[in-house]
Amino acid sequence: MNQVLSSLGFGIVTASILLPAAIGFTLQFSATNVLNIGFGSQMTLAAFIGYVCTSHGVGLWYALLLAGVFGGVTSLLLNRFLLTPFMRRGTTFFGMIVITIALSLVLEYTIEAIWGPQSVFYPLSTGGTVHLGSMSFTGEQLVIIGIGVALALATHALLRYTRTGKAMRAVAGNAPLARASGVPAQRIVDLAWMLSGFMGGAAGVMLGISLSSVSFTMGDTLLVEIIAAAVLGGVGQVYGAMLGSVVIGVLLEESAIVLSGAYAPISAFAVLIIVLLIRPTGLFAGTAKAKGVAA
Amino acid sequence: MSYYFTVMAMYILIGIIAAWGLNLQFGETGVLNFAYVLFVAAGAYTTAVLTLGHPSASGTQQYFWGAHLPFPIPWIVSMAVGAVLGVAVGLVSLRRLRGDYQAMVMLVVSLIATYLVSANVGFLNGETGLALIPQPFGNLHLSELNYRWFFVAVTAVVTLLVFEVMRRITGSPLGRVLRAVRENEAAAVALGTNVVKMRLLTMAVGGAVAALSGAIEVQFIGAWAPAGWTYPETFGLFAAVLVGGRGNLGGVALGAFLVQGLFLEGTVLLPSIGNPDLVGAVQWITMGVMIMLFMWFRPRGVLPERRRRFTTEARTRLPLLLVRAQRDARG
Amino acid sequence: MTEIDRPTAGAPSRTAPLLAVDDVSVAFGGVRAVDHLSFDVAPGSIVGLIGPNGAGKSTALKVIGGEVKPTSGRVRFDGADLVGAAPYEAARRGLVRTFQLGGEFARLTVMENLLVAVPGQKGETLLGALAGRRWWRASQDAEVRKARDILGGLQLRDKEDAYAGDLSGGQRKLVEIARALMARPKMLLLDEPMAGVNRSLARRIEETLARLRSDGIALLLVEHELGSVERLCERVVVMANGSKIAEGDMTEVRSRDDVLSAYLGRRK
Ligand SMILES: Nc1ncnc2c1ncn2[C@@H]1O[C@H](COP(=O)(O)OP(=O)(O)OP(=O)(O)O)[C@@H](O)[C@H]1O
Ligand SMILES: [Mg+2]
Repeated sequence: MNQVLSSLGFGIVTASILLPAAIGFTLQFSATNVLNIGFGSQMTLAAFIGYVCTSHGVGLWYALLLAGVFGGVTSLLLNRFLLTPFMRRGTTFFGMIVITIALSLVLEYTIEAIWGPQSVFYPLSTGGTVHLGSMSFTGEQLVIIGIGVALALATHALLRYTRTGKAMRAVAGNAPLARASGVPAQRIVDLAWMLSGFMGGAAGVMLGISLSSVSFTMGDTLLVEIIAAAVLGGVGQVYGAMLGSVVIGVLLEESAIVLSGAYAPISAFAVLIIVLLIRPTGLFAGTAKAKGVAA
Repeated sequence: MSYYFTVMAMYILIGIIAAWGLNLQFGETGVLNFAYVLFVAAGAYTTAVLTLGHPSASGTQQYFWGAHLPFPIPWIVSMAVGAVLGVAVGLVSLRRLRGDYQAMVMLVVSLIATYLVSANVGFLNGETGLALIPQPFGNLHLSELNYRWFFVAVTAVVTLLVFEVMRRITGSPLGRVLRAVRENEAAAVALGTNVVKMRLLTMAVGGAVAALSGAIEVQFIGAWAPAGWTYPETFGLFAAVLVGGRGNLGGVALGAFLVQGLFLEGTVLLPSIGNPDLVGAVQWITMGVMIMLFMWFRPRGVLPERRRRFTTEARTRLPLLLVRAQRDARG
Repeated sequence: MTEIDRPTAGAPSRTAPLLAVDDVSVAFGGVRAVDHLSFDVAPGSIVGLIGPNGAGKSTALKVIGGEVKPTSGRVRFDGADLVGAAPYEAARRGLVRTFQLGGEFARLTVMENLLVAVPGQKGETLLGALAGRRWWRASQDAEVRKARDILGGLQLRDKEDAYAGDLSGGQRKLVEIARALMARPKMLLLDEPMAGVNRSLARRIEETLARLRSDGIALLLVEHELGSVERLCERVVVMANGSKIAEGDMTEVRSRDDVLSAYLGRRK
């Protein structure tokens, strides 16, 4: 029981990191219908920018903020100057996936070329831990949880209560229709990509803090976890992505009790595949159906 | 230097075989199998286990079974394993999901497989991988260099066989149906095509071909480990198909030649940079940029898919007659 | 339901219907795209399915053709249940659908588009393909000749080697019809074959459809061009908001106020 609870603590941390990442991934997809395989590498790049900041004496949490901003700007630029031109050229859905794969290779190995294959480390405080029953958290982990939850709540507030958020949902639902009814679709798409980049960048640094190190392949594994969370929740569903993140995050850590360490990641993916077999639309079916992702 | 040429020739041939298998799935049928390298690995591991002796005889490495079977049985069994695995993976991912999400699930499958094999040391020696895998044709007693050239020749023959199989499939009515599935799934269904069956078929055949390429590779290099089949490797093969020209066998072969050549020659051309990690990184970056440039400037590849024209014996006579008859009929 | 379809529905038909749509409903989330739709099509007859944009006509065709599974209701074709069957079964039983938009295999030539439709070709199985050209060549040649006949009848002979994606919208519609014919259908489901097609091509399509009818192929025709519907169809079903609001012959249907307000009034 104790073990279950203490793993739950780790699970909550992982889920809090996955939350902004999966939300960002889903925002991009619902705004432009591009499945961005480069998302993981973009996060990694932001995490390295965070590292550069800290190694120049910037405080850890300011570094996180800066990395988020960096992620947002690069994400916006990538969409504007790389992906959108390809889309305008009529590159197919498959073609777009291939482009984002190429993008992912370029980013990832540029990181390796600059910072080398070894991990780099964030300066973490050696402060004590906080105990909540049999769960224990470091101060940093608590902040990570706070940030993850805050970003999720902010997304909720944005989508629910602001005009921009409503416009975003309209564009996600049906871009041509939204455009026809006067929504400035390009601005909304830009904003969606910027936000998603910010979320991804922040999540990248959060992961770096949680692992206490960052390496150039960090995004690979993470991407698959993000995809698992997003698909589990239901493609293109922001709330689904939130739920998916929590499920995947907790499962990843809890399964470590039953399975030996190296096997642990498998359980989350196994759950994903089982869910897909039973319910190919994911837990929240709406957009997946409307976009024809699953039958 | 000759040594180097045999290595080069082998990698190019193996790359071509693997790229043709992927071309059948992706180029012809439009299946985005992001787990493709898993099938190469399945073939390699199968052949490794089937040629290695009993596990207890090996003090240094662990694996679940060893059969010590002679050439060509391991290669054939590998192909069967690849085909079965193809159908299994296809059944999980292809049945109800749309193409792009099929691709996502495949990626997940590829990663799970890497985890599984790396984590379970007793299965296929975990992260370290298998080594000292016996080579075929030992009873020929060739000199080292001649042996290598002989291996290249055998591989060349296999490549030709695979080419012929691919040519027959893509040039047949079956190939046409596969391309129809690629072009427009809904329309293919509306004409009575069992699209899932067609995709599973390409998963099986492509899986077998991938496994064959892995089987050959593992016996040539004598070792195989998880680091050699991480999912970016799949993207390297996709790059070959895209750059060469999806749907064109010659083009795909050219693409495999270019991509493999870049990877091998790259190490030779860029040594002055020094750091070997850097050379590897530059290769992958070049690959990524190359894919983007090709998608922009030559979205159909260097040698695009051929337009298929139909001639029947009567072709030269019939049309004129028909056209005239129709004109007459309409006045 | 309504006054007018009672006599039609109640009239004893001499033959069993080829297609029977029975109380079919389709809901997309909250939208009821098709709402308790029922009608029959007799063998060899032409029935029009009309209604304003968004009435649910295309969705109805998709259900009949097997692409969309209905929320409730049944579809029987030629004595077989289609709702429970795999989506490709409809075509194999002789019921072939064309598309409102984008039904072509764009990067296949016109001839290839047609040949794909041939059911059960030699060389369409893995073994058949591996057996090589000699195994399937003769049967393919026969199909090629047949395809040329059909293309000739539609004045598309010279487009045989063009990629379908390079043709004009009207020519693509013709290719789709030609392709459907290669599938040896008993009945075609045509989704706006004349929409966005120039006058002369539209006439050609209309003539073709009339000819098909004399070949004994039944048609269910969704079309906004009511002149053609009137000339071709002996009976029309009118849909609005997912439901059938009227059924009968065109003149009969035209005179009804609710039809006029739901459809004709808005369009004219
Ligand atoms: N996949 C879908 N998801 C959600 N709603 C859909 C879907 N397909 C159709 N609809 C809705 O169902 C209704 C009927 O659409 P349908 O395309 O069948 O109309 P239609 O009669 O063919 O119209 P048109 O004359 O414009 O072709 C519309 O309100 C449409 O928005
Ligand atoms: Mg319609």
